[in-house]
Amino acid sequence: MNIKVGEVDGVAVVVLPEKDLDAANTADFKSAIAPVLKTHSKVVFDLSQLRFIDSSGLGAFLSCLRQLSTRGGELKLCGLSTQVYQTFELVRMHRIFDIYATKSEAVAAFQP
Amino acid sequence: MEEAFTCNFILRARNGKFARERYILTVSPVAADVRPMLQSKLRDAFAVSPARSHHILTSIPTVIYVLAVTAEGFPSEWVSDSVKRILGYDVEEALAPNWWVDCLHPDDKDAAIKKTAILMSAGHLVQEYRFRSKGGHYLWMQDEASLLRDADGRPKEIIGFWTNITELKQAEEQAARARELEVEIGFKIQQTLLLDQPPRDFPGARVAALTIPSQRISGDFYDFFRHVDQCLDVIVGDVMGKGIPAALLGAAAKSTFLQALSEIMSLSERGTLPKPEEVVTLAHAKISRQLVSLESFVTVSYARFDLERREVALVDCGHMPVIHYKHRTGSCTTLQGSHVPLGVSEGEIYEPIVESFEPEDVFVFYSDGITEAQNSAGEFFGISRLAECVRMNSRRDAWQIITKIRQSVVAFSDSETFTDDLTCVVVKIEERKLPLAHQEIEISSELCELVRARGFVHQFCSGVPGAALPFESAEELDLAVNEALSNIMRHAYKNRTDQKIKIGAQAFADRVFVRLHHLGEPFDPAAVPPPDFSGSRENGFGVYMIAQLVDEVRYLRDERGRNCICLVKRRKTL
Repeated sequence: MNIKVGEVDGVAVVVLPEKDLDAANTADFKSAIAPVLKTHSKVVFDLSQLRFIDSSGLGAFLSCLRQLSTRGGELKLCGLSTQVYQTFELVRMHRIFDIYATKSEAVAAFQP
Repeated sequence: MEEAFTCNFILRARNGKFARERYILTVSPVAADVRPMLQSKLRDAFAVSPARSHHILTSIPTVIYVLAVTAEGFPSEWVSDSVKRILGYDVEEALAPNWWVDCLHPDDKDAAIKKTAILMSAGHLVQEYRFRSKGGHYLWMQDEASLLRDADGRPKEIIGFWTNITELKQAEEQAARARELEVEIGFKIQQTLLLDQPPRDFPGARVAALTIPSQRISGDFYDFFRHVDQCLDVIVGDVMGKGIPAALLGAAAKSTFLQALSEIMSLSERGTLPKPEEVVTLAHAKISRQLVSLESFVTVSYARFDLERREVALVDCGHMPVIHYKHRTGSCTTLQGSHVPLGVSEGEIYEPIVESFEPEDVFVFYSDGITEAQNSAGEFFGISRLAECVRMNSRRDAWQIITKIRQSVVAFSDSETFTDDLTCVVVKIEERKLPLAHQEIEISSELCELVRARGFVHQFCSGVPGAALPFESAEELDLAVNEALSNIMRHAYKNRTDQKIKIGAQAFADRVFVRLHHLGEPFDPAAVPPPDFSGSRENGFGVYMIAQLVDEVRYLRDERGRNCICLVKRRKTL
């Protein structure tokens, strides 16, 4: 999976290139994102391309969140479509993740 | 004056069977010392010498004792030498005061002592208790005592026999354990081999089945074959006899029908369904010889409900008459053929009885366990009570009708346990609704197929006749299908990617069904723990999500033995 990683004010901004994140490509996503999680402690996932996520996709995000927080890092999400947000809500993950409407809001949330 | 008393011996024959032998001895109640008397009686009874009678007294499997009856109690006066061999005690030890009471098993002591009062009143007492031998272990003893009275009728002494019945007791316990085991095995056979789940989503008919197992399993069985969505075969049978042999024969008979059906189908032109009489004829040909050689027979009702033609064809092989409640007339009739049970006559030519039906009609198949349930007056429950119960509850659904039948039989017989299995199948005909649209695809069990499956559901939902499913509803159904499929691929098929999953979508005016058929392991949603919303677990959300996303989820087995997950979404717009 070709994830795009940019850096804004010391925050790694990861753009997910896929429309779907399901059981078929979560393993791909996890291995693509692993180096980013090792080298950064402030991470934003830009999900504005994403149209569909299933429980495996949610699980992958939870795994990222746990990896970061064990090292004192943070993960924020932005750009969720209505459908994707509803899936988060369905299993109450909107309470677990920091979710912002836009990338700049998410990045700004890291500033002290 | 001489008094006669009987003496029971439990003897074991060469074949190991126990039998009870009875000898009648007569004794003089006034004899000061009974020993010479017993010896002489034995001599008379068995016509043997004094030496031989002594030998008999020491070698019989019985201890003979004599107790005096005094105001203080019953001191031992004499005990036969066999006490040494059977219980390990010397005669002197056995004559010691309180010896008997001290050797009684703590759990049996109170009852045994209490019962001696019966001896004083009735003059005779037989009881069993555990008794400590000299070696310290307990033996089961049967104690048969008789009270002898003097010339004035006053209690004089007690003469008794102890018989070691430990082996008999052990054999009884073993037999009881074997009976329990048989019940247990029988129950397992019944649940796994004899009874199937009735189809739960057959369009146009609701089916419910009930079995109340009895103490000993009987060979009642039932099975259901679905032929697409038009015909439903209901097979209800009963094997003669009880116990594991009957259960195994029931299982064999049941599978013979499925075998016969599939054999004819594989040979017939595509699309033609073998007739019930053909299936019964072939099944009979396959099993009749075995039944004859086992001297058993099987009664069977084979009914085919054709929901499109609205008629039932019944091949009745000596089974109980089928009750047909007709909604139009509000009354019950019975359907009964004239064929003898399978295994009775080899060249039977089977013919069906054909009867038409209408929506709201009810058919009831049952075993004789129901109609022959008895009340305290010895009356049978009978067909007319059953038919009346069906008529009274005909407005209810199939499950409720069966529950009412059960309650009614239990109330009638005033018992929850029955001597015969109660088996009952209820088919309630419904207004048949044909789908407005139907589509299906087959995917392989690879996760990369999920996207195609979602596309199929989405496209089906957007194209359903009438008002289209709202976008959100379609998306919810999409996600539910996705979760169910990935569960099938990962768990039912254990990540094997070369398996198939059929997806069928049907739209009705009020709801959309998506059925996922697979041959993987069956799935028990009840066994899945509830999801963890704290974020500490990355998986375990699928089943919960499915339940939230659709209006109804059914996990069932379809007509071809495949597992099926049926997801139902209501069309809220209508």
